[in-house]
Amino acid sequence: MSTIRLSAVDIALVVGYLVGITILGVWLGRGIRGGRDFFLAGKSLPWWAAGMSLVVSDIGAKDMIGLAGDGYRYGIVMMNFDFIGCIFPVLIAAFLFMPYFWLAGVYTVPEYLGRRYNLGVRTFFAIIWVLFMMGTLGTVFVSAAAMFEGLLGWSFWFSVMLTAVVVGLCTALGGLRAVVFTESISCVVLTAGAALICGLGLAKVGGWAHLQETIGQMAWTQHHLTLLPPADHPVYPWPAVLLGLGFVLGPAYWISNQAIVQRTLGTRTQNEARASYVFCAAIKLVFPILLVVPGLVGVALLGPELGQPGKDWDGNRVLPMLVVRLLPPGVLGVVMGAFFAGVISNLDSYVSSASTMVVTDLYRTFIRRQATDRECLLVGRWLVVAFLVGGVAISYPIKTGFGSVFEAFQTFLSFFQGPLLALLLLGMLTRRATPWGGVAGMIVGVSTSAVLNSAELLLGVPGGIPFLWTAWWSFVAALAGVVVVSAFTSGHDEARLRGLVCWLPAGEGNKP
Amino acid sequence: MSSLSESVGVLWLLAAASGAGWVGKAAFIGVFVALIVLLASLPARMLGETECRPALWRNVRAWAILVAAAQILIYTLWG
Repeated sequence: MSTIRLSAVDIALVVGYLVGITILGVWLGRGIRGGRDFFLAGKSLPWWAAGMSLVVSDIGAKDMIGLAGDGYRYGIVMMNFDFIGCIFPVLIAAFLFMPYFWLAGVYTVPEYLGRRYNLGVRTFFAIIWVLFMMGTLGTVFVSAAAMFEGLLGWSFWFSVMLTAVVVGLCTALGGLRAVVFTESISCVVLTAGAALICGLGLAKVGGWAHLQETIGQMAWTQHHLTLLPPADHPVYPWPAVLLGLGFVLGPAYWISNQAIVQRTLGTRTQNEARASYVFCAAIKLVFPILLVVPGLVGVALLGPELGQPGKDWDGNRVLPMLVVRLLPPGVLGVVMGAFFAGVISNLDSYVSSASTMVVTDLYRTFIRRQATDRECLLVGRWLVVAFLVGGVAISYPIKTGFGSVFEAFQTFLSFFQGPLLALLLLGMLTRRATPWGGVAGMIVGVSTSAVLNSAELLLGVPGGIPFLWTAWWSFVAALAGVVVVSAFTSGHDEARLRGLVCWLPAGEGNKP
Repeated sequence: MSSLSESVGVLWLLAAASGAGWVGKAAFIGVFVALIVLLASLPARMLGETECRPALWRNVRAWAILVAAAQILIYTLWG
């Protein structure tokens, strides 16, 4: 792939953006005195900033690169990840689930699970989330390197190291407040950049109608223009999209993801937390179009060169190639800034959340129960560095082991999101779910997803099982595990469950 | 009875296999219709609207319903 030379204007825009965002992050960290300031921004976030931050915590570099690649491969079905897989669960989370985390006064989702079930469940999910976040950091580093390698000719490791240093400075010094405000800026820049690629791409192929016509003429793109492919589609059959994505992966991600929940817990009031979710959902009406349409433009413009995706096809090349072909000098600087914004927002969200989880659920629980707030702040900052190093280390195996970063991310998610959602749902909706039921559901659910994720190897299923079905069946298995074991074991008493189960409001005595 | 359920099963399979068709579209739209009904029926007390109802443009519930309605439109057009 040919690389490009940035003009002086482009370089000024990119450098200005990077320096500006780093200075802002460090400046916002000046008032931090303890763990509550660092991890929950002192509960001072406005709804609009939290809402924009929610969007770019989810959508960032891996989505720009990954959705363009998968948009090329599968078409507009990929928009479902932001429609039924995001807007539906976000609205459910805002009105039904968030109030319970808020009232329970928790820092993390595993902390809630620990109070509702037991320490074993809390620890297991804290560890598994931390591992997932490390994997996610790796996918973002790979996305950054793919773009910088493709556009600027930088080496893989130089791209990864530069990204890690900028994010490390912002996050380690600024905490959640810096993360959220820099992400708000990132959201604006990301929208502008994505809109430019989408608009210029559509103009180049002669508009939407012409693009539809071009794609309609190809043999391998027959389902590219429908949100709901047929039930025998090899990867995204519509029933799996509805059940696996809409009812399991989406809700689990938006209701129980620490990187998401932490932002809303940092807002000033419960109503502002709700408003931030709804604002995020409104923005998400537009984002999938901006991110997936470039993939379709890629089919029309790059189809003869890239061909029909096969087993070893590299989807990460689509966006960098489009950028090289489409963008004039000056505009390229904005898009590069947008891409940096996506990288930084993805990384700082996960690094900040992972450090919060380790401090709250592991360090304060097992290592130093009497740790002061100041000590937790210091540990949290060092953990930011540790996670970035871990993410850098895992990035190369991810680059070589998966077809696209989006595929890697979704595969990691499908391992545990179903069981996690089952435990949360039953924990919040019924007092009958017992601690042993929680442990059983967790083991059965995660084992099921491990077996289904390895179906090609273990069960001899050719091509494996679509990850959306894995998510659905692991959810069902966990649900069954909790119900069956809870029927034979005893649960916590009513006083302990107050404020944790929706039918048992917090009493005066145990309000946070 | 069994022939009825058989017919329904065949119809389901045909609809499911021929592109999502009306079954898939109806399922997705149904999810968002159910969501709108749920949002509209939540008690005001649960959302902290006990004293006085906020103006429509500041009403988080109204905005949420609008977003869900936009999703119905999207799945109607592209589903």
